[in-house]
Amino acid sequence: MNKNMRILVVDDFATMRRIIKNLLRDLGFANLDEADDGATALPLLKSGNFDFLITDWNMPIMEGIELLKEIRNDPRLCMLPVLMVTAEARREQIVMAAEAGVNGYIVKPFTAQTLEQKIVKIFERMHAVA
Amino acid sequence: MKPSSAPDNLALARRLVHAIESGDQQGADYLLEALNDGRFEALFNELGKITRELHDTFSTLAADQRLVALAHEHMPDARARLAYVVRKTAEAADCTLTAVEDMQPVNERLVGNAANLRAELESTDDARALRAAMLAHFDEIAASGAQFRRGFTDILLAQAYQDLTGQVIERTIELVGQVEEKLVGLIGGCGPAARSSPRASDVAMSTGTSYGPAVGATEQAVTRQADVDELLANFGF
Repeated sequence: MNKNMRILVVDDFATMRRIIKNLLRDLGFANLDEADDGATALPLLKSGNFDFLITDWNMPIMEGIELLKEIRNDPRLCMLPVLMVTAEARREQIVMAAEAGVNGYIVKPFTAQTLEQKIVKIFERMHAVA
Repeated sequence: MKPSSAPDNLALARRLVHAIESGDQQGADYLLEALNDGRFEALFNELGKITRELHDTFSTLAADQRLVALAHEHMPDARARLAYVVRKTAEAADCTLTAVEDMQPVNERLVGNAANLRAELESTDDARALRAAMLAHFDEIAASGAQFRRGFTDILLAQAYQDLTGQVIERTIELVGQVEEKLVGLIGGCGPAARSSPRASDVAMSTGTSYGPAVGATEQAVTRQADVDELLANFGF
């Protein structure tokens, strides 16, 4: 896994963005950016060369699930790995995210180990496919 | 005319058919009107009853001082308190995170220095006893440093409560806002005594696909990561 990859962290709560960014730094990732909802994240993703997206679900203006669908419908972004980190825990929502093409789903509150495991797994699977 | 009953209507309808069949246009028009009048009168009577009931209900509500206080004082107060909780918990989380972020590089330096000193001592042949003691001492500092780091991670993750409680509280604020708006509107329609500067709420219940944190495991919701992983295993995750 490339520790220099560019990661976008999207969550409407600044506290949660800081938590995730600190955990990522602890895992050796330093190339981090952030956005506070899908509507601000999407133009960033379209203009920048991001390698990985970590997004919340429940956010104002554009929710995480909508952002995921937009990404999968964009020919330039459709291959971007997306990890959802959210408090949304309904079975139908997890199924909805899977069907929309999410690469990983973490339910809040979560542990540092879970975050690491899911990131490792996502990139292992990507390399297995490639 | 009294509200028409079903047998009355049937009799009128038979006479209407007869009038049409026998070409009595004037009679047919009269009978059609009679049928309609009966139907509308029944409707107006029903409307009148509902209006009286509504008026009685509003009058009772207006006389209930607790409801007036609830709408004008307690609800806005509850919202202000909840907003205060959100603000204060956010400040606490921010403060803790800043402390962690400030301490982490200090800890890193400590661990790094200990390792350097250890290497230096290892490459020196002088003062053997001192060297052993210093090595042990520095090893301890290094071990403590690693321990701090694990502790920092725990502190960091503990702050997730702010996100979760924050979401719950914000949803409650929305709900209280809507109840307040409805109650104020209800009282406003009851009489001058109950009307005192009702304030339109600027919040709206959020729609979309989100439900917020699951407070406990239910049929629909999971609470453990293991349940999420199990569900996603069906999709080849």
